[in-house]
Amino acid sequence: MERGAKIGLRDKRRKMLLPTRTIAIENTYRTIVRTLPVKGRVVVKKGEKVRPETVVGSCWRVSGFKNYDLGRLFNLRLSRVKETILRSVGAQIYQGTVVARTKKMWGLKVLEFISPISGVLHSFSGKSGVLTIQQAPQEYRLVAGVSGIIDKIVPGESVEISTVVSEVRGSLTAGNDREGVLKIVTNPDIAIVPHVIDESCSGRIIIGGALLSKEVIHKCLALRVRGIVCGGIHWRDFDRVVTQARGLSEDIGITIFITEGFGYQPMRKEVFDFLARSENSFGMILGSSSCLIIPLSGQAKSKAQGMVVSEEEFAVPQKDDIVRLINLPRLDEFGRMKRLLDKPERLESELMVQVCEVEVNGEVRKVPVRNLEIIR
Amino acid sequence: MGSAANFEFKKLSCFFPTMSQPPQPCLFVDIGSVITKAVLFSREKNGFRLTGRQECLTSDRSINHIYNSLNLSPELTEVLISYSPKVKVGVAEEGVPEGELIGNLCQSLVQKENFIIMEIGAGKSWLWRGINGRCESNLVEYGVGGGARRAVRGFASEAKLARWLTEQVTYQEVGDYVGNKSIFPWQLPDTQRALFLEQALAREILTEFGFVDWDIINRVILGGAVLAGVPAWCQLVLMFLDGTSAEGVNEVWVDQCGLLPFLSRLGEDSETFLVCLGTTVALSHRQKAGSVLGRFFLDWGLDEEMEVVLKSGDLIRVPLSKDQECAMKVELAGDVELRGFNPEVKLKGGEVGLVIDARGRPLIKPKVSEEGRKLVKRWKEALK
Repeated sequence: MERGAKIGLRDKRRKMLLPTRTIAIENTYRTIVRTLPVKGRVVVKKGEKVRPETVVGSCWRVSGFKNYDLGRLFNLRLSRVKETILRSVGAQIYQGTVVARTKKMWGLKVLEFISPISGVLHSFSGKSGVLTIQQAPQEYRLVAGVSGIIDKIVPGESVEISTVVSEVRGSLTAGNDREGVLKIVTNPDIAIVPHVIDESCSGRIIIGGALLSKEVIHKCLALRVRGIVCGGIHWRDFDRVVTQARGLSEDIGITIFITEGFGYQPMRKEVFDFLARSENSFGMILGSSSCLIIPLSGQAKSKAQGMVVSEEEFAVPQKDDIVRLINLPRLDEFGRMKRLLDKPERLESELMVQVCEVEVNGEVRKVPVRNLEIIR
Repeated sequence: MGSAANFEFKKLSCFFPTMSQPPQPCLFVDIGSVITKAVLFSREKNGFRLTGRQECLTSDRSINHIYNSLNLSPELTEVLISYSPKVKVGVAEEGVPEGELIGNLCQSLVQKENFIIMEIGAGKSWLWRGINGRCESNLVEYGVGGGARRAVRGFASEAKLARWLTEQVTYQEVGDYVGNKSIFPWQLPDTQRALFLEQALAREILTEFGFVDWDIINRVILGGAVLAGVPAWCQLVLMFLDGTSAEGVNEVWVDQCGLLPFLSRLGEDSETFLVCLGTTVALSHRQKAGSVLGRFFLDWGLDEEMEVVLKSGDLIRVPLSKDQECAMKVELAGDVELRGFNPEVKLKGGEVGLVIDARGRPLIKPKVSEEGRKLVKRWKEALK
């Protein structure tokens, strides 16, 4: 009944290409793309040196429309609402302008609608009593965020800045590119709990923990946290919060960066220590490429010669390579490759597979070659 | 077992129909979305000999890696590359789509008999049907690697997967396993728990293939790593019966070496590269568990016929080897049916033998409870 040995083959020569993962790189060259949210004006030139606070471009962002139900606000019949409007459609109005006024109780009580925003009185509907104000466009200034040299310009859209950064690569990311100052909130081997998130996290990228729950994500959204870096997240939480029914990943207003994988996954010590050293530095989570960038602006210039890191994605495992054991559900075991064994061996699952010896915490273990990832 | 050994010497004069003098060696490469598999043949006096196999993770370096690992000489001229629709590396210009190659195979098979081919991959799964001279295929975006998350998000919820396990498990653990499997699709299940979880996913994907008219199907061919890579063939037969709720009499074959895309090049010999697992006989009924359904009389050349009294819920394996055939007569209760059964045709044995499934149709899937787990365990034990 059991499957016999495989066909008589050149097993001794069987080598596996394994994926490689670079977890953290310090001082590497990288091109950072800074993009305007809408078409605007790039104000720097190619070859120009920029600092993090340098404005590289600007644009006008239209924020949309706001509706106000005057009938309900004034408690008036719809036929009488039109009489209260003081400004004509198309008029420019400013925050604080009285837009509508009515008198009640035989003129003893005056009710006013004061515009909470600046913009243009777009329309008024006599049928519904709704007044619509188009918000005035606001100027958005895009700063470089990093020290470097302008490498390429796409007129009106984006600039590419060549710079030296440190970067951490993760297993999965959800959300758009976001930036903020890094803040450690908890240890790498415990779950993040909602009460560690407070107002001090607002506008920042928070780091820590082995498990991110959807309650924490909701609290972070409420406090306008920019991003979360964590070791693991339950798949269902990730799926429900991040992925919409259509099966596509959509931005929910926060960027989530998971360093290890799904489930309770303590963050690798080296990664956490590296991030802890970078606390209070400016960081960027690049959603599209699953990496966290820490620009070395100023403080690391002494050694910021930069090194070019090999982007090899697959490699044949060699003796003494550092490897991660993908031993689901655990992803936090690392070891050193000792040797590939010639003959396949039977696993606990009864599968016959090619195995290798890996030294983990001083103990030599036999591990399926396919369940390894080379760490660079 | 020995099915693998059978591959060693085969007359393969029609191996490469387009070549008068096939050079040596000949390499077949199947580039999947996660794993690239290569099979190397050399020509000998009486045919071709399977001399090498190699597999590696799919990347733009896969082909070079295979050439180097198998130490292939430059005079190698004949290479056939098949690639999965999910492959992103640049092989399109030198390879043939997997669907096209298996389509060719279907066209030749359908001339002889009605069949279905089910293949479960990492990112996608295929169903090909060949019925009454016509072939059709159905590609679903589900698999046991990258496609696993889509499957669980869609039809195979954590509860549906958990019902096929013999141990208690939290839904979170199931979801996290599936999520991690989609990040690390090349990972092999190293524990029984992980293996059964993957097999549960395969069962649900088989279910998703939908309606098959089992009355007219003669042969079933199963392929893909999760099916062909089972540690014991009886597990595969059970997965097939559980997942598809197959009815009637079906011969079950498996593509052990991943040669499915290349079988069309083998012509008449294609069958010798598949492993026959035997025949499944599944009764259609809705009787209470334990009630008598009828009697089976099996004759495979022993002194006397073997008589089997079948009760509802039974799952019986008769160890009929691959070189044996068996004549079967049935006496069934009034509302019990054996669809597509022809008493004149002998049933073929195989690696598992003859499997009689009296659990009823449509198959009532186990519940996520202690009782359900005991039932699943009993089914697994029955075919061991």
